[in-house]
Formats: sequence, structure tokens, C-alpha cells
Amino acid sequence: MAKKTKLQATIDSLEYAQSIINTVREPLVALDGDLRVISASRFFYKTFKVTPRATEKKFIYDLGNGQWNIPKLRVLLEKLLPKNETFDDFEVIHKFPKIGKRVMLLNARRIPPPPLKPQRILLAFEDITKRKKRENELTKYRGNLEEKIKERTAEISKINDSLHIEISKQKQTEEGIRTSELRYRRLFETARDGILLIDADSGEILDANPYIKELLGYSQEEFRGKKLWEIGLLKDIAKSKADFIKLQDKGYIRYEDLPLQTKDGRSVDVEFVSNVYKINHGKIIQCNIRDITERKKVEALQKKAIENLKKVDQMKSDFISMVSHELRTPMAIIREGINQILDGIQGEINEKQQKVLITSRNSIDRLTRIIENLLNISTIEGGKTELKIESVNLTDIVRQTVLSFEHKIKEKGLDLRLDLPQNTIEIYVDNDRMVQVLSNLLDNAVKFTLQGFIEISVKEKEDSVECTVGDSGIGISQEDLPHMFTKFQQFSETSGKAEKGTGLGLSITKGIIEMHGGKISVESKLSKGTRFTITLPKYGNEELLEKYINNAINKARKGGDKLSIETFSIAKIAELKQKFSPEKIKSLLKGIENVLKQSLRRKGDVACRGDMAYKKDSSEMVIILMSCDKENASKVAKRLDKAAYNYFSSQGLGEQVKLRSGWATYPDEAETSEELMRKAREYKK
Amino acid sequence: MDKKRILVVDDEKDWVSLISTRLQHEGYHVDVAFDPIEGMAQAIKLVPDLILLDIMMPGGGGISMLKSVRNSSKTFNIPIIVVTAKSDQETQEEAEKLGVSAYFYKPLDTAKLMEKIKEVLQDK
Repeated sequence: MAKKTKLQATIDSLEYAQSIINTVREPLVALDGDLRVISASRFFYKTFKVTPRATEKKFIYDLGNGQWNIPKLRVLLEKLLPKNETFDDFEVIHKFPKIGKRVMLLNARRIPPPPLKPQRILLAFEDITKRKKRENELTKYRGNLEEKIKERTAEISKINDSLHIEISKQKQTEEGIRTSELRYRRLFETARDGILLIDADSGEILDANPYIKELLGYSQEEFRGKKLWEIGLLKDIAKSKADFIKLQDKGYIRYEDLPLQTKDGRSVDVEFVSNVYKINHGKIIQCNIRDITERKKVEALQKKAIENLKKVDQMKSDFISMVSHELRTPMAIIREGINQILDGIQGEINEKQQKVLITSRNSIDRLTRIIENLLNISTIEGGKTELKIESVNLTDIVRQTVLSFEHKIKEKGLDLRLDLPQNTIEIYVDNDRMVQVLSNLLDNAVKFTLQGFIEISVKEKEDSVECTVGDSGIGISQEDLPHMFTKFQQFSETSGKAEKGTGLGLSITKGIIEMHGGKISVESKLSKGTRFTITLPKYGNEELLEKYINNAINKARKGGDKLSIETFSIAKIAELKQKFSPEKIKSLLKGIENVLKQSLRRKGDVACRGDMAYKKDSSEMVIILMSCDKENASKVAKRLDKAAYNYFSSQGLGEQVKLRSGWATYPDEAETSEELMRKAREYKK
Repeated sequence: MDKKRILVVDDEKDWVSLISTRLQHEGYHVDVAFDPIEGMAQAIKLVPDLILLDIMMPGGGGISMLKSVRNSSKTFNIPIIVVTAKSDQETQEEAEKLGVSAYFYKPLDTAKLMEKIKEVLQDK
């Protein structure tokens, strides 16, 4: 038995270690205390693709491309031997020469265990690149998964939230329904109108609200389960039953004024409205009942008030009529007396007497004007003035008026200038009123012009007709100009001496012009002259017609009256226009217009009186008949028809020309002028 | 005798007196009546060439006389000029449709009236 020597033992151990090292499939490196490589395992060289020559005896930190030259590693390695601080899992990520990027884990141990010497550092390398990669992938995968889970969770959370919202909405709706049920119930109980709920099929009363119970004196039991006509409410049972069927069919029924019987035998007038409603899987009838006794009382009072007003109106008319007669008669006598003396009929008079009488006559004339104005203004203001609209030639009116002033104009030595068009200017106006207007303006012009001229012109514009009355008179001051048309306006001192008037003329003139839908304006310069300009619309005839029908409707409405519109037109006018000359047609139409007008004036057998005849497009006549119902309108139409036939026959055109007529009544058939016109134009023949 | 005959019917005596003077001055023969009944009687008896009538007489007589004149075979042709202080359209229309030659309102321009009378009598 050979005792192994220490040395041999050491060598044996070394060889042992060496063979282990070389067998182990891991890169191993043995370092001495200076961190110099003593030896490396076969696997080290294989793994790092380096040679022993490049590795042995080199400092660890010099190896390769300085891959282990890591300060932290160095510190650890230097501490290892003296302190025996081993370390594990030191990670090095590096791009190694020849093998590329790798992740290495380093473990370090001290060998052999003391007290054996020499001490060496055993460094083991683990290539965890692949593992690391897989770890990363796993991490990534896990990250993805977590992401997905997060998403899913968020989705679910969202769904959960919306479910919550849905549920709360549902709850709200239920709340809402409950609330509206409560509200309805409250209304039902406290309403100041009667409400009855009735089963739509059987007609049995389901519920009655307190108001109706109180109004009619019946209790809940007396209502419940019975049909409306079984209680004794309704007087006409047969009709109620029939109406019930109608209600089921139409879903709605309304009685404006229905008498109901209370329990103690009184009668209450009500407005009764029934509606059929669908509820859940059935139908229910709700009746709303309103006590109209008060309303009827008020309406009766109103009617009485209107009647009174009408009476007062009539009294006023009569008064004015009477007054006018009483004032005019003595004036006529005075004037005629004075005139006769002046005319020498009563004997000769001297100049002095003549002067006195002339003064008196002038005063009478002034008085006459004042009275006329007063009477006029009261009728215009009272809205009692009805315009008699007809087709007139403005030029004719002007000439006619001028004629009556010619004398005075000549007397004053003034120049009369007329600028009138050659063609006829047809406008729809009240002839007499227009004469009144022009007379007023001419009168003023003559009054206030001491020398120079008076000029009247008529011009036709596209939609209107313009008439001016100008003079070279004393003019009007800037002060007075804005107030020219004001009632009772007298001129200020600055306008100079002028003949005094009542100050009503111009305001009446303005009133008349405006009633025709026209305008009046004035321009003037002191001592230079004045010019009044009147503009009258040549409305599309339909417009003016509408205007007058509307006026009539308003009047009828105020008086609780009816009115009828009648339209007449010549049938087949186009054919006639081909057969006859335009003049013949025109005269024919004028003839018919006159015949119809004459016919209307006869009081005769019909209660109606035509207030206005209006021509449209020269081939249609429209007549407004006040206080005329359908029946009477038809009578009037027949009468006018006959008159027309007679006229046509007298012209030898009996068979060739026929009149078509149509009519409509307000408010029965229509309530607006458009509707009335439309219906009236649906000719009956 | 070529003098034309005019019948004046009006209840205002003062007025009738004045207008008669003037008419006579113009060369007409004048008869008068102060109410519609008298007026109608005169018309039938005298058959004047023209009647000057005031429509407004108490009891609504004016219009009724107008109607009677037009209805009587003796007088229906006589031209009538209305001279009146009553100025409502209704009456005027009624009178016009019964047939009047002219309608004058008091106080009037008698010169115009004279002219009209001449015109009407000439047309006859």
C-alpha cells in the first residue's frame, strides 16, 4: 500500500477535476487569484469558438472583445477568493466575436475548498440566449394575454354599465308611468270638468270623477256598470244609443250644447266630447263634460249688447239724417232768397245792397260746406260709409270736376292747365267720392292762388294711377306741411292770409283716398305753390275684390249676420269674343252690369239688397249681398238670371248669350273671402 | 199757350214760395201742392209738363207719390225732378229706379236746376 503523497493527491485531484471539467458540457474556466485564465473546458472553446492559445494565461477581462471586461463582474471576481463570496446568475448580454449576440449567465465558485491550495476561481457559463428568448416570448405572450384580458374586462364592464343604464331607464319609465298615473288620477279627481270613463264595447260606465258626480247629483254606485242612457242623464235615449254606435265607429263625437238631466230633475247644458282610446288590450271611452250654463248666459248678454249697439247705430244714422234735413232746408230757403234778390227777380237793388247780399250768400255757402263736412266726417269715421265701387274713367271725373270750377278760375284770371291722357284710365272707385276729393283739392287750389295757374294731371303707372293738383299759390309753410291732413288743422300765421275753413276738408279727402287703398301727399313752398299727389291702386282686380269682400265679412261677423257672394259671368265668353267686336262685347257687358244693378235695387220680394257690384276681367261680375242666406241668394240669382235673359233677348241675342251664376254664403259655406269666391265660382249652371 | 207747366210738390211753404217765384221769372206756369195726396190730385187734374218733387215729406209721402205717378196711366210719362234735403243713398236709389230725370240736394245751385229743367222739357 503506497501512501499517496500529498502532491500526488493534489495532482490526482487536479486530474480528477480536469477530467470532470472536460467532460461537463458547460463552458468552464479556471482563474487564478489575479483573474488569469489557468485553463478552460473543452466546451468553453467550443462554445466561444476560441483557441486555448487565445485564452490560457490571459486575463479574463482581456478575453474576446472585452466581453468580460465588466467592472461589476471584476469586483465580484476579485472578492471571491479572499472573501469566498460566490455568486450566481450574473447576466451578461454581449455580442461575442464569432458567435454573435448571446445572453450568458455566470456562476462562480472557489476551488478547491480550503485549506487546499492553490485556490482557483471556477467560472461556469450558461448560454441562456434561447431561454431568454423564450422567456421574452412568454412575457410578451403573457403581456398580450393580459392586454386581451384587460380589453375583455373593459368590454364586459361597458356592457355591464349599459345594462345598468337600461335597468335604471326601465325603472325610470316605471316611475314615469306611475307618476303619470298619479297625475292623471289627480286630474281626474280635481278636474273642474266632468270626466266619465266608459267601456268602449259594452258602453258601461267604468268611472266618474267627483266633478261630474257633484254636477249631476249621482253617486259612484249609480254610475258604475250602467250605460249612459240608463241613468236618466240623457233625454233622447234612442239618439244616445245611435250616437254611441257612431262613436264606436268614428272614435270621436262632440255635442256643442247637450242638455243633461240631474238627479233632482234639473237641466244642465253641457259641452260633451267623447274620445275612444286604446289602452293595453282594450278600448276605453273618455267623455269630457263641460258645464256651459255660464257661457250661454254670457253669450246671451253679448248678443243683447250687439243688438243694443245696432240700435244705437241706427239711432245715430237717423239723427244725422234728421239733422241734415233740418239744417239744409232753412239754408236752402235763405240762399234762394238772397239769390233771387241778387238776380233781380225781386226787383232792382243798388250796389251797396248787392255787396251786402253777396257777403251773406258767401256765408251761407261757407255754412253749407261746414255742415256737409261735419256730416261727412261722422259717417266716414263711424265706418258707415259704404263705397259704391264701379268702374270709372278717372279722366272723366277730372273733367267733370274741373267744369264746375271753370267759372271761378276764369274769374280770378288764373291759367288752367290740364295734362290728361288720351286713353281711358279705368279704376274701381266710388265715383261721387272721387268727385268730392277732386272738388276739395280744386277748391283749395283756387282759394289759395291769387295769380298764375292751376294744373291738374293724370298719369297711368304700372300698378297705380297718379293724379296731381298743383297751383302757383301762396304755398304752405314747413311748419304746417306735416299736419296738412289732420282734423281741424288751421294754418299758422306764417302761411299768410288765407280763407278760413273748417279744417276738415283734407282729412275727409285723405279718409276717402285711404278707403280706396290709395295714398295722398303734398309738396309746397311758401309763395311758390303747392301740389297734391294722389295715388290710387289699379290692383290686380282679385285683390281689390278680396279687400271688399273681407270688409263685408267683418261687418257681417260683427253683426252676427250672414252674407252671400254671387258671381255672374257670361258663358262661353271666348266664343263670343270671336264672333263680336270688342266694342260690342264691352257694351254688352256694360249693359248686363246695368241690368243686374237695376234688378238689385228693387226691394221686391227678396230680403237681400245688393250692396256692391264689381267687375273683374270685364267678364265676371261679383255681387255682395248683405244679410242674405243661402236660400235668398238662390232667389236673387234666379231673378237676376231672368233679368239678364230679358236683356239679351232685347239685344237679339237671346239664345247666343247666356249668363252663368254661382253663389256661396258666409259663414255657412266658407269663412274667408278666398273660400267664398272659390265656392261661388263653382257655377251652378 | 206755349208756357210749360211745372207742378211743385213740397211741404216747406217758404221754399215753395221762393222757387215758384223763380220759375215764374223763367217763364213757366207754376202749380203747387203741399202734400203728396194733393200733389197726386193736381198731377192727374193738370197733367203738368214737369213735376218738382221733394222726396222727404212727412209720412214717407214723397216716394209713394212717385210710385203713384208712375203707376197712373195719365201721369206715368211726366218727367220728375227730385229736390230734397234728405241725403241718404237708399232713398235716392229707390227713386232712381222708379225713374227720375234728376236728383238735387238742398241747398242747391238754382241756376243748375233751371238748366236741367230746360233740358228735360226740351227732350220732351
